[in-house]
Amino acid sequence: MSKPPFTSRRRLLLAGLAFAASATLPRAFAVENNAPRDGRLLVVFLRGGLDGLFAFAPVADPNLPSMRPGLSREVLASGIPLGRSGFAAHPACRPLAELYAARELAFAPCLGTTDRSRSHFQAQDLFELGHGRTQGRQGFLARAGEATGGRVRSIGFSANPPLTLQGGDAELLPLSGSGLQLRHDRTLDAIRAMHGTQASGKAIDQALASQAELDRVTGMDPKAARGAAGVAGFPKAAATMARILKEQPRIGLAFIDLGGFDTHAEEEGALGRSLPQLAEGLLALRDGLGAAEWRRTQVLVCTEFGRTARENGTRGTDHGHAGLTLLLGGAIAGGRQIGDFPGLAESRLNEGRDLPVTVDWRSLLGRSLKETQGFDMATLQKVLPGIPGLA
Amino acid sequence: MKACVASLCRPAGGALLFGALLHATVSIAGIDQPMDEATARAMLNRFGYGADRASLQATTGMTPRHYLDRAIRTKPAYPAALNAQLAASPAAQPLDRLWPLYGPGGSERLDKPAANQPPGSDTMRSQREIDGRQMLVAASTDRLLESANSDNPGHEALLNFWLNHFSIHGLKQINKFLVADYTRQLERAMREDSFAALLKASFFHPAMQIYLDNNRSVAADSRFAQRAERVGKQLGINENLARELLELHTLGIDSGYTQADVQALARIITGAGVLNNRLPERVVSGPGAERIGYFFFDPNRHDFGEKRLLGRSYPGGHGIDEIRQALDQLASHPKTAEHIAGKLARRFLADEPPPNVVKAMAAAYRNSGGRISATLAPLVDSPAFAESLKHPSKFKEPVDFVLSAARAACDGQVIGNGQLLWRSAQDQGQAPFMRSTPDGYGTQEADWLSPPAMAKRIRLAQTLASRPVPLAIAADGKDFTACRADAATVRVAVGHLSPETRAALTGLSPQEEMTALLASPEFMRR
Repeated sequence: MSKPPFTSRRRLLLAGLAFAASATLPRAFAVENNAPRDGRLLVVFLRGGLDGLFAFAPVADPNLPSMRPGLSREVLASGIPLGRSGFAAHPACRPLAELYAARELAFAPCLGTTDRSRSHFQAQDLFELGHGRTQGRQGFLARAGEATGGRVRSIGFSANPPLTLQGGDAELLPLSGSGLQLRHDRTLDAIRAMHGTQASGKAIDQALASQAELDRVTGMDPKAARGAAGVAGFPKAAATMARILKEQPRIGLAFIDLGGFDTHAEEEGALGRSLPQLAEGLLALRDGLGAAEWRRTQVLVCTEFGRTARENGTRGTDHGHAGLTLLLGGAIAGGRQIGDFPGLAESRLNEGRDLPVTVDWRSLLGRSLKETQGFDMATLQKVLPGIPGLA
Repeated sequence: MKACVASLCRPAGGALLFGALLHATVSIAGIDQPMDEATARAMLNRFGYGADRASLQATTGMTPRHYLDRAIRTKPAYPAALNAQLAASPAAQPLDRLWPLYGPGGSERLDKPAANQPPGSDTMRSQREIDGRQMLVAASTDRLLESANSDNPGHEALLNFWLNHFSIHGLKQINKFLVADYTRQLERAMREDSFAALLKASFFHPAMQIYLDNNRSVAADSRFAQRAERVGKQLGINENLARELLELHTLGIDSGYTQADVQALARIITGAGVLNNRLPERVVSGPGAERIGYFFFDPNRHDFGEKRLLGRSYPGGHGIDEIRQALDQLASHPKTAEHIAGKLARRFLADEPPPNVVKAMAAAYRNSGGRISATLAPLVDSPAFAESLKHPSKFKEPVDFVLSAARAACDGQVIGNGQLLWRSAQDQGQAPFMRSTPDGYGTQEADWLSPPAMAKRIRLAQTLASRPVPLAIAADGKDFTACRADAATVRVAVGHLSPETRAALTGLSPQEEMTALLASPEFMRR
């Protein structure tokens, strides 16, 4: 496995000087190269493939009622229009529609990866690796963390390391499960000594450091932080997350994943329960951060793929291609749609079945990384190889 | 990045040969070479859940071939005290008893509130919900207890491999009641030493049909769908199981199948589902219908049209026979051979197994018609495997760690108190039947090595060494008692220690030493 360059601030500066000395590059390059921005990016990854056409439905599209007779009924009757985009938010997502009206939310209805397999696992890997291939050991947020030269800390709010953060120096602060706490005694000293500098030794050291921080920041018994890793516990987890992020401004890159969006059957009931949790959690995050922190934060809510344009035989939807992505933040250009929506007409669909990708996922991730971390295109090409431009 | 063990970072065969020569004085492991104690210990860790003094003694002198043949073909035996406990478990009830109660159209409906509500709940629960939770935890715990106490640890490791390959989620609908039977059916199929048998056991089980929604998939022009349409209900195909059959169970991702193949397979397997208790007998035994346990093939839901799957055409007019043909076609596909070989090698050899070993395994799979023993033979006979037993590098998965730690701590006493095992496995994210997605649990270091994981393992080591939880079944068989192992017996289970580990142990009390050994880097790998 090869690591990208720029692993330390020192090397970053040296690289900048080398560029500055080169006559073939514009002079401004070295100065502006990766000029630190005081922003923060949080990626909320919805595993299972959210049906974006259910959450934000193209109510102005004449094909919607016939393609989704059951799944479009409620949004057609009482959806909340999203400006003049032709989309309406499902009533289960009401808080998101309010954020849209406040220009703190933008949505991309057809964002996706280059995945052709419609496999959850391949599509998630592609998304998380962020370099356009399905094999690899280093996720895009790990590369982004390295590209900041150690300026910001990266953190994952899950118990097991997500691929997005693997292969870097990200810390894990699980918001569910039994946590990290360990009794400090000489047995622990012996165990740390045995593991030395092996990966397992580094993990023990990090567990100790992270737990100390979690205890201090939350000022509460860590055992009270128990909660479901599914979306059901998200509002509570989001409130804790907000406290940590507010307390720790140096955390510039963060990731959390939520399960439970693979709705092959009885989708209305399932998403009717989980979307309000998601929306309330995002509101809890915004409120918990407060206006100043919210202004320097961007939240990207993504999923590995969207689902079939048509409802299936079991009142659900099957695996599709492009899906819905939300961008939230206090200082984003909100209240707008990002990228085209070609419509639901059979001829406009990908393979006659699902939405085509009009925004490459790297383009939107790249824009947020540029705006929050100050990355230039050269850096973005390293973090997200193959990025076709910014969305 | 962690430095890799020298013997595993081998770009070419040269270094390997050199490694083998270096160790030639110890033993040249091979599939027919009787195992010395160190090899037996490593084998019990690799194809099993760790060594203790009794299993070491039983395995030393055995050849790897015998160990694996026995693992595949011999039904395991459990200690009498555990058998008595397992027989009394709610999960031991046969499906014949459970299905009329909880199966579709059964007498215990989801909306029928229980007479005795569990304390502290604010919503009315049905008896079915209460029973279901209890049943699922029991089945999951029993699987751990069997794996911990088996006289045939290789059998348990392989069975758990297949249960994870054909993963089902116990929380989905009535699967809470079905996971124990699913385990029994896969266990039976595994003893046939055939991948096709395993594939069919999984497919023709109601748990898989329910898990991946195939019981609800109906051909749009079938009689069933037409009848439903007359009362205003739209029914159709659900391609969930078809896709995972290709992607996860057989050919594997990126093996060349297309969306059209997924759709063709989805049509082929329409009609496969589960038995409804209220279905009249004349329908159950009607023409074209077939019942296999509580799996039910309903020809009224099946698509009898022509199909084309992976280049092979299926003429119209066929029912369940074309499902069997399709499963055989998938099982004998060369891509399935590669997929299964690679997956076995990643679980039982290394995160990145040498391609030549995987290739030899895939060839053996093809030449033997998908026999598991034949597929594993080139793996176990490879120099890479012999090397890996000397320097185990696979990071233990949570269940590997929990069970091997409990075995080391109990040293031959019957482990009967499953609560600690289950809670540990659940907390570390790997309780049996609790994986919600059909890809099963990961088997790689990157999937499991993390700060929380290390913290949890150290805490479990502390718990086992300080013995606040009585883990073993007492001599009278009625009560639980503390495990007796001490630092000396745990040393036997752990085996060779590095100089760093030995140095770190200096000056610790016996109980502290036992904790540290169970949390040592040597004990984290298998």
